[in-house]
Amino acid sequence: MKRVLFVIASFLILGSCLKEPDYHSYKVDMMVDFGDEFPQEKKAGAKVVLFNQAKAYKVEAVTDQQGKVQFSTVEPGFYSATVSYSLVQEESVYYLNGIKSIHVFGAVNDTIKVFKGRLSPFVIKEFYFSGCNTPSGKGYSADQYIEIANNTDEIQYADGISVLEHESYGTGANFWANIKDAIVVKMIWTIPGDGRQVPVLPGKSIILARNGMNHRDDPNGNPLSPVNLGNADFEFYVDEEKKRDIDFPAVPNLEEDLFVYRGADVAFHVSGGSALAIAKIPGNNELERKQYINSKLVSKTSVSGSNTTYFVKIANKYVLDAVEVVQDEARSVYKRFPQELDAGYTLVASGSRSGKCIRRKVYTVVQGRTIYQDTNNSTQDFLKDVDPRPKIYE
Amino acid sequence: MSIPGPKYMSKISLSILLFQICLIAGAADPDIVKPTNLLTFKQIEAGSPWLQSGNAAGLAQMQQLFPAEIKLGFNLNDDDFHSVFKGKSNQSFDFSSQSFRKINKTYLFGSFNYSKSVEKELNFSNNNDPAMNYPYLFIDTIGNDSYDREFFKLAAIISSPVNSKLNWGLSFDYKVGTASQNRDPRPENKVLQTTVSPGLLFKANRFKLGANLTYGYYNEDIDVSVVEENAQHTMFQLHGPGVFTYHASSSFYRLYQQQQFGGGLQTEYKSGNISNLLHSDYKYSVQTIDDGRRGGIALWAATRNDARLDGMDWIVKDVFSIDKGAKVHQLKAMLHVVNKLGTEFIQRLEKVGATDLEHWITYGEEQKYYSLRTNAELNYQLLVKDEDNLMKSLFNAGLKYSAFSEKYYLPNNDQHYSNLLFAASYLKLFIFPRSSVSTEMKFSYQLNLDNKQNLAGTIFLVEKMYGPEFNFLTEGFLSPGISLAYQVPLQKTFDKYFIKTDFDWFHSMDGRNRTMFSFSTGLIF
Repeated sequence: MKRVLFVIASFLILGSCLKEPDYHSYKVDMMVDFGDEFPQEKKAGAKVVLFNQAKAYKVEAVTDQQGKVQFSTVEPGFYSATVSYSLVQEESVYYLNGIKSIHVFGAVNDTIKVFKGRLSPFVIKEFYFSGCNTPSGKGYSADQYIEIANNTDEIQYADGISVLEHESYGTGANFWANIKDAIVVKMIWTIPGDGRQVPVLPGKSIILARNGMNHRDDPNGNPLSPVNLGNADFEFYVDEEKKRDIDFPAVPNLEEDLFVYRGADVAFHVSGGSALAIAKIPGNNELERKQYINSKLVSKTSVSGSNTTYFVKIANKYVLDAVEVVQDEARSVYKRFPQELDAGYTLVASGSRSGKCIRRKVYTVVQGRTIYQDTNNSTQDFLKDVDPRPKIYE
Repeated sequence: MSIPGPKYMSKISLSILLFQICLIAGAADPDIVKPTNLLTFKQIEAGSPWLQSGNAAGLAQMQQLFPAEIKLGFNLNDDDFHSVFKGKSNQSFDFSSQSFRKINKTYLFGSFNYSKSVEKELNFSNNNDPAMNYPYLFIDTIGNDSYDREFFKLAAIISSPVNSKLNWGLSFDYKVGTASQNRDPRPENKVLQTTVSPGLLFKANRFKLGANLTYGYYNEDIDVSVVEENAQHTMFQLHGPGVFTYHASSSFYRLYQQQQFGGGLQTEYKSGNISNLLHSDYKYSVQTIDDGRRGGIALWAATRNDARLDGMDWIVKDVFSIDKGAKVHQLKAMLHVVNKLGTEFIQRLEKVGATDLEHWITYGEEQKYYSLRTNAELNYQLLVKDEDNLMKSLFNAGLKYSAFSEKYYLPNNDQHYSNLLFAASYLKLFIFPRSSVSTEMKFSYQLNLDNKQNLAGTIFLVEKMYGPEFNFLTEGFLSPGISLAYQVPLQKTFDKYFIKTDFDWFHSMDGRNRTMFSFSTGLIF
């Protein structure tokens, strides 16, 4: 009998269940640092968003009177914490933004500093970089463009405004993170003119095309391109010996001030990664501007030490607008632009060849004039994965 | 592991087919009289509990029947009472063969199956077999898909005595195939599944004691593409009830790999016409899930392995038999527990090493998903045989209790249900001078005992998928069914020709139906 019981018992012992999950959650306490001069009574109500970068979900809370906020059960992972707050002072609206990377692998007690953003007369309205496929399945990115809009109620002049591209594609830690008051760029192209030649009506925009042609119809184009850029205002034309870039005479060229990795044509990263800014660089003409640029060179030596590359740093105060485009959420940790220029980041999640772009949200339309949202936080200000619609304002 | 594409698979299948035909032709030895009838394979299944024990050495304990069969089949099931992960209709054609043989003291079994099927009006699945991958399913929400499948299965068992007290055995099965959809986003699934299990059986007087080990490997490679130019689709990676992440893309790649280890113990006591077989089978599995995108438009530089599913599958079964020669009474009691634990890895894409290549770096892991399925079953069976020891009728009645609960932590989602199923069937063979006919009447009724679903939010996938799936799983139904088969003897080489048809109809309490029909024709010899 004992033997029988032993056999039966050994059969039952064979089966043992898995234990229930031993999962963790942590408290995240954040203090929003509004600065010493900020009125105490206005610290309540700032929205703090905790964004899980791997799973792409967010949780929100608002600050109390002390500027504190608490998230009680946060799953472990990598988060970005952003603060956005608008403030009316002396009949003007100011936007306060802050962003910080938070690693939650235990209880977190941290502070986010916010910066007051400046409102710019010009904003980047649309940036199309992803490109598309050709009928034969090849990639096509010659139809990339940047659209800059006048976000004021007065005529603004765009000549003298430069387009800048940050030195890094944001795939690793920012090499220039210790430079706080400037951004380091590898490309500067400027709208030609003396400051009174390129008027932009209130709410309207100009197109800076990589190639100013109707990409759908032109023999050099791609019938699957989503855009016709034959009516672009300016194009990026690289005048080099082999003439590999086509110069479309109907569209005036931008002035090339800096192109560190000079190639056959200007090309933005089709997967995202080009952090873009527009700036008014000091100088009344091309010569003075280039003199300024040449005085602001910074160098970077390759890992092997065999070569040194020179870039240019442009002070934050000259930057009118900036948008930090990342390749995907996972790379958003490699922040390049300082918070006062862009407290967030944006992307085309559809990826390269998707024919999609990022577009600034419309804040309101006043008497037919479109006013775009400009909180200096591209995460909030831009629509992602939208169809390119150059010069369509709605 | 790489899986051969369809072109190579057809060569493999042709080789297997030729091998099978050779085996079957060899089996048709005119000098050996092999008593068979329409119900022979059913008799082996019902009357040989050792065959269901999982121990290949138990093949030698089967009744002295060595039939072979080849058949062609057509199966259709249709209508709206189905899982949301399945299509409205599924129709398949198959060719199969199986054969039991005894050469000297060695027992052999071999089977081969080829099937081609089309599943239509499928809405939420890019997995070939959603039950296999649950909860880590991969779906899109573009509905009205159609899944084309082509699969080959091969199984073999060998058992032989080592001495008068000890038998050894080895079983092997191998399944390989492809499944593909014809509408964007269109997955192509390549599936490989194989199991190998050696076993020993010790005999001493009235006792038999067996033990076996099992190793299984499963691999499903899903390559999703979008043919339409400049179009992206949203792909959802499910993590648990109501929890998912998603990506808009024109391509996606997922790889499931599962290793399974386990073993079983069996003991039989036999005294006179009474016997009792108790067996327990335990398997532990580890499934990994790798995600990524293809090179040309890759946003993720490296494939990401962000989840793991640990599983436990335990069956304990007792079969009590009274063999009175012409009548065999059998009482079966079974407990089946399946337990799963899902772990997610917390990762970040980083540049590492001198090459500056990006890799997903794991910073931690969190156990997030848990499920427990318990099935308890009690079944009575009466098998009646004729003077040639061939089955002429079979009565079955059983009660099955099943309970399932699953939880996801943060956000805390859980669901639970339990069902009770009663099933009965009666199979009878009618012998005529030149032919025989078998009929089977079937009836089953399921009752939901309790259910609770607690999923956070009213997101699209909860509304369209998890909610309806829960309704399906907890819905009561009744199902009558009938099988008819007709057999005529043949004069040369082959023994008997048969045609068989099955019809089952499911009617749920909320008014939905499902019809299952199958037709097969073939030879028994």
